[in-house]
Amino acid sequence: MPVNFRSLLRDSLGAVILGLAVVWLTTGGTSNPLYANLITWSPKWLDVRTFFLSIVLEAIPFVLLGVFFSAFIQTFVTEEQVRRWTPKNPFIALPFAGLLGVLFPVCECAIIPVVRRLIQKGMPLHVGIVFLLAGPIVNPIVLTSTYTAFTRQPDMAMYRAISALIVAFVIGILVLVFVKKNPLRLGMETEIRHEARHLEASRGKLSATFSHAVDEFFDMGKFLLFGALISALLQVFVSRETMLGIGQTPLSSHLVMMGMAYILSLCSEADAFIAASFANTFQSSSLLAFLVFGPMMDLKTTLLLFHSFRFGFVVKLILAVTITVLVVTLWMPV
Amino acid sequence: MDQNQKKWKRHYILRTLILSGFVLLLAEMIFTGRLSQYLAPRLHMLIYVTLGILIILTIASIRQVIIGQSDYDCDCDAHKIPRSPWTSLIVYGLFCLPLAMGIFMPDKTLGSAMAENLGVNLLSNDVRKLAQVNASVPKVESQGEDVKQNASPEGGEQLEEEARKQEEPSDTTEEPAKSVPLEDAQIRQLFAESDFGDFYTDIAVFLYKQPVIKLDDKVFLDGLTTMELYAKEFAGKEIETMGFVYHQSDFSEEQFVVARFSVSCCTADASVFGILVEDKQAKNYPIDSWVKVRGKLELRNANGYDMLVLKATQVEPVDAPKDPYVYYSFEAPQGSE
Repeated sequence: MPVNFRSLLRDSLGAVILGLAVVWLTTGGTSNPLYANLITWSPKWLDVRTFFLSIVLEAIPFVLLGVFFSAFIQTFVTEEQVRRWTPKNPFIALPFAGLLGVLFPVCECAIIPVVRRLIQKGMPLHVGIVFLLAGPIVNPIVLTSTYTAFTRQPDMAMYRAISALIVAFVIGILVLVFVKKNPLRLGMETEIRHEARHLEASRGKLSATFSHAVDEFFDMGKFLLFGALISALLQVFVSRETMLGIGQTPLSSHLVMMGMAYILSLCSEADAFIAASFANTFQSSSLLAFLVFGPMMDLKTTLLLFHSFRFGFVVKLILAVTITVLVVTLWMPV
Repeated sequence: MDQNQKKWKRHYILRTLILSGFVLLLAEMIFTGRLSQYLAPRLHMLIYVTLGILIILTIASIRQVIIGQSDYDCDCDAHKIPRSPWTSLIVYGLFCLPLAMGIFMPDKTLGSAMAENLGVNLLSNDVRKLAQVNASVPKVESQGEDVKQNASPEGGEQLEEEARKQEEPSDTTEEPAKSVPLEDAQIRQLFAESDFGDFYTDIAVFLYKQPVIKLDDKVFLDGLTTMELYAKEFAGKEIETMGFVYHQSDFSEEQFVVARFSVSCCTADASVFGILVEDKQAKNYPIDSWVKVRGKLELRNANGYDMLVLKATQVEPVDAPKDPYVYYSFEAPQGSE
């Protein structure tokens, strides 16, 4: 089949030129970017590169995991099953969602496509949201790494899990009471149903699943890459001193640590080590705010959320989570 | 319909190119070992699996190019390909960025500039509080210890003497095995009281038994944490360690930090740990160069905190190690039993 080579050329040229332009700018436009080792790169940009690549390399496996896990749910779990397993009574359903987080060690990159799929399959929204918020924190892997990082305060892991559950339950109840209409993004529903039709038609065909995985990889990947890029730039060009200098009162130090957690977009497995490195500078309750807020909301997951949920819902969710985390961690007797 | 088919095909070809780019980049990183510049060893397994999955996805994508859309046979708009040329430019450009960076830009190990940005964690203290340390340092320097090649004879505690006795038979790491069991128990007693858990007691005993404590890559982080926890007990011990040289404007002329970057998952979560070293020649060691330092730990009091400072007796320049980062091991060092 003939391919329209001119437009193909235009598209791929565009992509290559954009990439080269960035490289070109970073070298100060002095020489041919192909001779990588002959150029003296500004060390700051090399640090940006190191950070960017390492975040991307770390996150890609987990995004793929989420993509396949959600494809798995799509194929093997019926809506009937999801409905039957989820308790009807909200007061049982909320702890149930928290327990789900303990059982499935999914980190925050992987959990969004999974939750989106579960909600689509008929899981009540408030249950899905509790799982979304608590899941990346209360699982055993994350708590073990927290315990390891805070050798001097073994209680920290416990406080982290408890605060996360409290915040998740509060948000879950708020969602239960206030959100009536489906917050999945416009078109998202038909889109998913449409995908389901494809799968229905080609059930058992592995190739169809992989084709969908390719689509999904590019879909989720662009948000991840963007978030990673911003985070890398901020880490290199804004020193932690500057961020720390902003606040020393309890309220402002909480806000600073939460803002930092948001920007750094660390994996919830690793963030405890970063928090521990601030132990001398900040009081422990603001470290707790960092540990609870980061996995629930950060730059890269926000972009993923915007992709799956309505704009208004995401904004309200972020606001509600921010306030609740702030109140809960200020109140926690760490 | 025909027009639409062509549009699809273009996107699939682009995607195939990008996917194979990622496959090549990952494969290259794995085979050249550059991967350890970005990820902690415990995550490397994940990347091998990812490489496998990406190869499968590339094949799936090639298949899409060849078979085209007929597989699904629908002309709906649901599958998310960018609509306008500008969106596709941005989206695919974003995917090309890591590839371009991976191919065109050289690797760089994190160094002092980044360390300053992140803040360096010193033994029991923070580099930010160094001003107070300076103020509280008594004029010990006047003692005039000779720099380099001169194992310090000062500080005649029994421990020291014992240390030098045991030092003679070659390398020190194998030494602890010989120690008398009774002594083990005594040392354990010393540390068990503070109760920071068995793990740190084990490490503390393991380190304490060595006449000259060797802080190598494996025990660097846990060792530093242990010394921080038991600062008083470790004061006066001799240690040997390696790291890159870090200076800061508020350091005195005789101070530098021998530092390492620790990585728990990926380089983006790196933090810097180090020991403050005092040495007459401090300003002669260039920033970011690697040195091996040997000396004695001294306890200082800064701002109400106890802090260990390394009085150097010997500093020698060395080559940067192949893997510049250090990792938490999550297990007690071998030979501690």
